[in-house]
Parts: sequence; C-alpha cells; structure tokens
Amino acid sequence: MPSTKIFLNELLFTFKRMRESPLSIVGLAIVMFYVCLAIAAPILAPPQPGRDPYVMPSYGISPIPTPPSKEAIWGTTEGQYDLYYGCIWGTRTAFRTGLITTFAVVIIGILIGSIAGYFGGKVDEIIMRITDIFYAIPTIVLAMAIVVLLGVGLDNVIKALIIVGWPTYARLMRAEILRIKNEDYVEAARAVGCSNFRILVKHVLPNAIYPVLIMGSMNIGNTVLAASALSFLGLGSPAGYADWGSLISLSRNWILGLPGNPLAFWHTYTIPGLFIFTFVLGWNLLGDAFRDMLDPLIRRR
Amino acid sequence: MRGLEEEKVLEVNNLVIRFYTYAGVVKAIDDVFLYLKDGEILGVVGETGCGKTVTALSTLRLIPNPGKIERGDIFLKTDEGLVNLMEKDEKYMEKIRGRYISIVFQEPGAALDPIYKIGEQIGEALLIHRRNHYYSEVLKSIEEKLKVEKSPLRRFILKLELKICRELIKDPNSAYSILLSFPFLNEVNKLVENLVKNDVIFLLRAMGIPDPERTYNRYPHELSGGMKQRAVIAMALACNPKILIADEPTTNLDVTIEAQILHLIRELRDRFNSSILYITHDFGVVAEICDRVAVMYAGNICEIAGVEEIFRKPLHPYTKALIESIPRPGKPFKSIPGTIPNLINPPSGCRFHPRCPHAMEICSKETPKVKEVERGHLVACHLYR
Repeated sequence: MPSTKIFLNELLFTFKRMRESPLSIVGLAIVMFYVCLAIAAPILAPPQPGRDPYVMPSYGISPIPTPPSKEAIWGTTEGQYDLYYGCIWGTRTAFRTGLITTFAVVIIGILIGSIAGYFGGKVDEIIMRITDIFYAIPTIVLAMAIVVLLGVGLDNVIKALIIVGWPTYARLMRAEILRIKNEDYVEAARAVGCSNFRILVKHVLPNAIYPVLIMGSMNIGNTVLAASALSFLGLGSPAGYADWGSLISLSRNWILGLPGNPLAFWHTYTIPGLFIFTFVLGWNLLGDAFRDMLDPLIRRR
Repeated sequence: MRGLEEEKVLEVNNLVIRFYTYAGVVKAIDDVFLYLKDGEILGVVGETGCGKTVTALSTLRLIPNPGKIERGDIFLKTDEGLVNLMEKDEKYMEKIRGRYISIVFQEPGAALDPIYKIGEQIGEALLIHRRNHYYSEVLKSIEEKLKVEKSPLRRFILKLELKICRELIKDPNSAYSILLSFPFLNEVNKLVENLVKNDVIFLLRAMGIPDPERTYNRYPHELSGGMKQRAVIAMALACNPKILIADEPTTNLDVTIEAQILHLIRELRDRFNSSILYITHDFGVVAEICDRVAVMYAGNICEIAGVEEIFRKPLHPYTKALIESIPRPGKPFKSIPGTIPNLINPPSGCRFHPRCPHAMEICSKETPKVKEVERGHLVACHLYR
C-alpha cells in the first residue's frame, strides 16, 4: 500500500526532525516519564483495597510532618499523609487537570475564534469585547472568584480554568483566521468554485489552527501550574487528595522549619515542588518540538 | 459589432465599480465594456491600479471588500444560453467559478494552499464541479464487480455501495456520505480518488510538468516558481472552463520561464479551446500572445483593437504614449509625464486629459464617447469624432 508507506515515511521524518533538537528530546523524555508514572501508579504505590486510590493514606493524626522513614520513604507531610504516594498518584491528577482543561479551552477557543474571525462585523465585535472583559481582570483572581462561586473542589478548579482560559485562544484563532482569510489561496479556492463552508473547513481552519495547537501544547504545563496555585490557596481538592498543589499547600505551615533548623521539613515542599517544576518544564519543551514537527513549512526546511 | 454576437462568450457592459474606503469613494471602474470572442486571447493593458484586475474579478463577482459593483451587465455564454451574471446569486456563481470562468493569479506561490499536496488541490477543483461524473463512473465499475462477485457478504457490501452512490448523485449533501467513512465502505472513496488522480496526472502532464506522478505528491513549497505557476494553471483549467483569466501570470517569473509559460498558455488555448483574458502591463507579452488588446487608463477603456492594428496605428494618445514608452535600444527612454490620477477625485471629462499632449478644451468637460473608427477598432477620445 503506497499510502501506508508514505505515512510511515512521514512518521520517520517526524522523528528525524525531533532528533535534531536535543531539547525537544529532553521534553519528550520527561513527559513520557510522567506518562509511565501515571500508568504505573497502582504498581509503584499500591492503594489499600477498598479505598479511593486518590486519597493518600495517613499514618496518624499528628500535624507535624515526619522525615523519610521505612514506612513512608519520602516522609510524610502535615496530617501524616504519605508524600511518596501523594506524588505518584498526583501525576494522574496533574494529567487530568492539564489535559481536560487544555482540550476544552482549545476547542472552545477555536470555535468562538473562528466564528468571530470568519463572520466579522457585529458578531466579531461582541465576542472580542467579551474577551476584553476577561483580560481586564487578573486571571488567577478571576479563577479564584469562580471557584468560590462554584464551590471548592478540583472539578470546579478545572471549570474555572476553562472559563478564564478560552479568551486567549479565541483571540489567537481570530487573528489567524483574519490573516488566512486574505491569503491568495483562499481567493483562489473561491475562484474555482468552493463554497464558503468548504473554504472555512478545508482551507482557512487547517492553516489557522497550528498556532492554537502549539500554544495549547505549551500551556498544558502552565495549566497544571495554575491549578497547583489554586490548590495551594486552599481552593482545590479536599485535604488528603493526591494532588501536587495541595501537597505544597499542606506544607505551607512548615516552610520556615523549626527555630534554629530552617530546613527541618524540607521534603514537604521540595519533593512536590520538583514534580510540578519538571512536569511543566517537560511540556514547555515538548510544545516547542510540536511546532517544529507539525508546521508543514518549518518541517521541510 | 452586432454581427459578432454569436461568437462572444463573455460580454461586459457599462460596468461601474466603486470602493467605499475611509478616505472616500474610489471610482475604480467607470463604464467599462469588454467582450471576449470564442477562442481568442484578449490582452488587457494598463498601468498599475488602472482597474485591470478588478474588471477581471468582477466577471467572477469576486470584488474584494469594500468594493461594490454599482451597475453593469456581465453576459456569459453557458450551456443554458446567455446568462447575465449580475442577476445571479452567490450559489449560482459558485457553479460558474472554475466551471466556466477561472483565474490564474499573479503570485503562483501564494495561490496554492501550503498544507495540501499539489495533486489534492487540483483534485479539489475537479471534485467540486464533476462530482456526479465521478460517482457515475464508480457506479458503473461497482455494477461490473457485482456481476462476477459470488460471496454473499461481499455482494451485500457492493449493493450497499451502489445505493450510496445513487443517493449521492441525487443529492451531494445527503447523509449517506457519512456512511462512506466506514472502513468497509470506503472503497467508493478510493475509487473516486483514483479516478480524480488519473485526471490530475493527465492535467499535470498537459502542463508540461516532468514526472507528474511525483509532482502529485509534492507540497507547493517543494516546487519552483515556474512549476507552481503550471500547477496553478492546471487547477484553473481542471474543469475545462470556457474562459481563463490570466492576471499577470508571468510577472514574478524570470524571462526564460516567462517564455515557457506564454508558450504553454497559447498551446492550451488551442488544446482546451478556451478564451483567455490576459492581464498585463507588458506590451512585449501582448505582441507575443494576444489576438486583441484593450487599453485601460484610470478605470476607463481607452482603446480596443486587434493586436497588429494597435501597434501599427494606435489612435488614443495614451496608447501611443504607452507604446512609445517601451524601451528600445538606441532610442532615448520616453515616459509619460505626470502621474496616475487619484481615483477618489478623478479628473473631469476624459480622465487622461491632464497628461494628454493633444488635450483640447472639450476634454476636461465631456467624457469622450466610444467610437468604432474601423471595424473592431474602438477608441474613446475626442480627437476622433
């Protein structure tokens, strides 16, 4: 089958392109590492039977974190929650928040942005003024207000991030559509008799979509960062839920350590912090790689 | 003029186009008339911004924003007889574009969508206008297969495919098209694809593109300028249109490629039996390929004549000046004094009068009427009354 062969060649070429930029390999490696971690979570940190696996096991009621021990290999945080268990299962939470939010935000942004860009006029004006309103309020403050309105919880954090996130994508999509709409090949497509709908779906959208997709892939990490920030402020998941943000939130009272020993509880914030840091870094590096791979113009250079 | 009626494939009369810009109303096209005879190449010559392209685009009703066709008639000879395109709606125009009139743009690189292969883009033009032709072909081949097929499951699938094809021929937007995306039914799509591919490769070969099978799978940026322009011409000629508008198709190509493309266009005219509206500012190109020439200035037609006639005996002062400004070795370079008028406030009367060496009093007062000085030689100038 020639088409299969072409497809295989393209795939190989994609990997060849990737090999040329070492940073994207690092990004891919980090993300793949986290994917493995998320998949292998039940093996690496077996949950107790009959319990919700996302709830971290607790080894007591004392609020004071304990250093790494045989029982809890990375130590425990406030409330005696197992850090190791929390970090491993937190990977799944991070993927869920990052992917669901970004997916929803990209879809909504593409839909609304293309309506605004392609139809223009009053529709465009109204949509763009709405995005202006969103831009006028600091993102994280708006997200906080929405979470408070909807009620504290991880699902509501995701909803809030979607609500505050789409205007950026809608704007980018609109700008791209406006640019592509005036390209000669759109005029040429119209001149061979393409209908408006066909031009939008086959020529304008596919050309305009790349920047939005690339921005989306770069933003998965940032979304996790924002969700962690909200969790840190106590708006995210309930106490004990495996989530990096809330793990750091639990360490909030212990960041200063003990008098005379400021690093007494270093593990409570360093370990989940490292997880968040590398996760975000991995996605950002991969986002760059996606651009080089997906854009047909850059791709062939 | 009346006597030539049967030969005309396109006739534009009293065309008036205005652009409503922020700075004011641009009177881009004023009372332009043109006609195109069957199988001829009509050159439209004039300076940049004189309305050549806008006139051409108006025949497709593709005036860019904020332009508007105020008045005028555009008659096109179609299979259903003479049609006034100005009276038709957008849906009808979609059927005209590409099928009866198509256009080749100036910049071949920009006229091709960068994300589709050359073959796919040319195929799109074919599929838009000849869908039913392809589905009927597929219908026939499935019927052939059904005659020899024995296995009951296979027979069932083939019958289902037949049904889908028939429905799609009746109504291209019918919900049956969704069924074709199922893997066991996508045979229909593959057969259509193959038929289209064959036609596209035939077209590419007709354009003189070496190794058309490989070019089919190439992306636009992998081709050279000349090859891109050939691909664009193939796209325009895909459905064998009656009229091809070539909007300075060789301006951005180097001279050797230009000669090849000009040769190709003339050859294709004979082969595909199209009429060509060739827009250019280069009198050399006009002399090379055109049968007749229309000279435009600031949104008006100044003169229309046969190509030999116009070089031998140019009548309008502007035509004379244009021809004299063609650089020739051993002669001092002559340009036309003055600049192109601002079309928001065009000069009164004849729009050329501020630059005209023969300007008289009447020129600034009255717009000259078109006069047929000789048979087929029209001029709009007060000198010839």
